[in-house]
Amino acid sequence: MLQDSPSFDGDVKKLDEGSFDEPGSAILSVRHLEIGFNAKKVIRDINLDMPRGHVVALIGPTGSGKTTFLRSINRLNDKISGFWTKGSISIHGEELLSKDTDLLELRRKVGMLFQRPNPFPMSIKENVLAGVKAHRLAPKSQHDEIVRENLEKVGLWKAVQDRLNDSPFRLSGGQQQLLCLARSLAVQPEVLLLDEPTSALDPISVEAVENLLRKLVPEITFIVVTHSLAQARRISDHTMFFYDGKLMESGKTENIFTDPQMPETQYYISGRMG
Amino acid sequence: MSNKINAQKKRSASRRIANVVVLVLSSIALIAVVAPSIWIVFQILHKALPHFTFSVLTKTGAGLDGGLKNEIVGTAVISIGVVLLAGTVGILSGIFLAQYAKGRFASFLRAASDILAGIPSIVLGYVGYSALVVGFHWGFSLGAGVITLSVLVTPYIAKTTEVALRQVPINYIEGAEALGFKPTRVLSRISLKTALPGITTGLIVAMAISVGETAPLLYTAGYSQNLPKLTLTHSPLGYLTYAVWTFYNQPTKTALQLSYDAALIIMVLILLLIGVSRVIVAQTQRHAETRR
Ligand SMILES: Nc1ncnc2c1ncn2[C@@H]1O[C@H](COP(=O)(O)OP(=O)(O)OP(=O)(O)O)[C@@H](O)[C@H]1O
Ligand SMILES: [Mg+2]
Repeated sequence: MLQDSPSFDGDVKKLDEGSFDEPGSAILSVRHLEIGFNAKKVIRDINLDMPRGHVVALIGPTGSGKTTFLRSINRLNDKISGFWTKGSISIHGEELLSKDTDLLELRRKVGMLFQRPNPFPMSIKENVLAGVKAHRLAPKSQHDEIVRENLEKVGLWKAVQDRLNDSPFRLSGGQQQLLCLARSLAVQPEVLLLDEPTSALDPISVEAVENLLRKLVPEITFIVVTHSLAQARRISDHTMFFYDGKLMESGKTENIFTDPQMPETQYYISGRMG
Repeated sequence: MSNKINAQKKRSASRRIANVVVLVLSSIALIAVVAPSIWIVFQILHKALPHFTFSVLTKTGAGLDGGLKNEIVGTAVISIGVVLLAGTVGILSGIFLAQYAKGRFASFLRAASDILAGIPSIVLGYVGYSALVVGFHWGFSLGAGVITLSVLVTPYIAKTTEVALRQVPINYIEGAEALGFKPTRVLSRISLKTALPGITTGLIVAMAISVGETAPLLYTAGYSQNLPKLTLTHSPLGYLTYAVWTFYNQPTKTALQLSYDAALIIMVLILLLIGVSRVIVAQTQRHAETRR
């Protein structure tokens, strides 16, 4: 149904920043996207626009292609053998599935937070600075300030300011995930991709991460894959429902949950489908 | 009801017996491994220590008398040469095998490396002799010895490097890629750093092998009672295993003592190497996820 038209018509006018239906205001545009591994097609002809400065939730049953789609946005699937794409994903109108795409710059602009916290085996401070150093974003004299600023942003500063040179692996799982978030934020991304970012965390850490996402929009656009419908409702402005490699339905979160149009969506959000 | 309890009792009893059997067998295996090492260490200490004088370390050889300074320096020079040469080639090959080699070509390389690793050291010694000492007219020399020993340990270093790199968690690598690290930076900042303990251990074992090998050196390094000349060709030199092997079969008591002294020094060197590797591993693993 919505496949051939950008998916937010109708809701657009009510949004705070309003104008993402105008050309260029969608931060990511996907057109006729197909993705597969060898002969297996995993994403089938998806068309959508991601509104800038919002939290977008991707929901759908297991195996529906959410992770595959998400990882394709910063080209993390490239190395997997048999992986192919057709169609287009563009950021600010700039194609990112092209051979000439500058992957390093793309990944600076489009960061990723994984399901399991993955701090690097270096000190807490070096973790925050890892991307900053890789992209030479700031002179050394500013490093301490960057560390502090980003740890404060994620609410970790108080807890770790006395052990910046310690191993990150002595932090709790939730703190590790916040550290990874600080590491991603330090390179000043425009979009952050999150694949079930809280499914390995305890409830209090989940709340901390969720609050953070809300705090960090609209500077950053978040695309969050989640299996928790409650979480999608809590944190997202928009929800996109994936089903069997297709984008079945998308729109304002409120509308998707109160007035789903497609029978598959109705089944899924009523909890009758894995 | 009581039948059930009986059956449970029987089962737990047989489980307990199985436990004991496994414990006994593994203890025997452990003793079989450890006992000979301890016995050798005590033998060497027992034979060498009563006569040991520090002049052995400071005097060069003189016939069947004198000290072992020339052999000690020779062993050190050879080992350092091997670590530089085999370390460079081995680590680069390991990186290549782990990261770049794909499909049939990779299998071919691995098979070639395994075959090389399986060639007896004395055969390598003879090949080194005919190719380098005679073929290239290098004569008995430091160069011939180092190259021959390097051929012996390079496959080992390549393998440990490859294995260590393959064990780097994909989490780290994808995290770094997603942050926009260049492939070379992923390798240098994440993969190599995480793999360093494994690579270091491989290097140290390679060094220990060079300290302890005899056969390939007999054919290629020759022997000299003087301190080693630091030129690659026409530079025969002494080394500790030569002293152990040669002096042991000499009729004089001083020669026999020199043989035990050399064995003692080899042992101490190898223990030192193990100690150094532990320190390096501990230092590099301060921020590691699992401490080793
Ligand atoms: N490397 C791969 N090779 C082949 N098929 C793959 C690969 N990765 C994913 N797939 C297939 O693609 C389909 C979509 O998988 P994907 O992981 O994107 O689903 P998902 O929606 O994220 O599921 P989940 O909710 O369980 O995380 C699945 O059928 C999966 O088997
Ligand atoms: Mg998934």
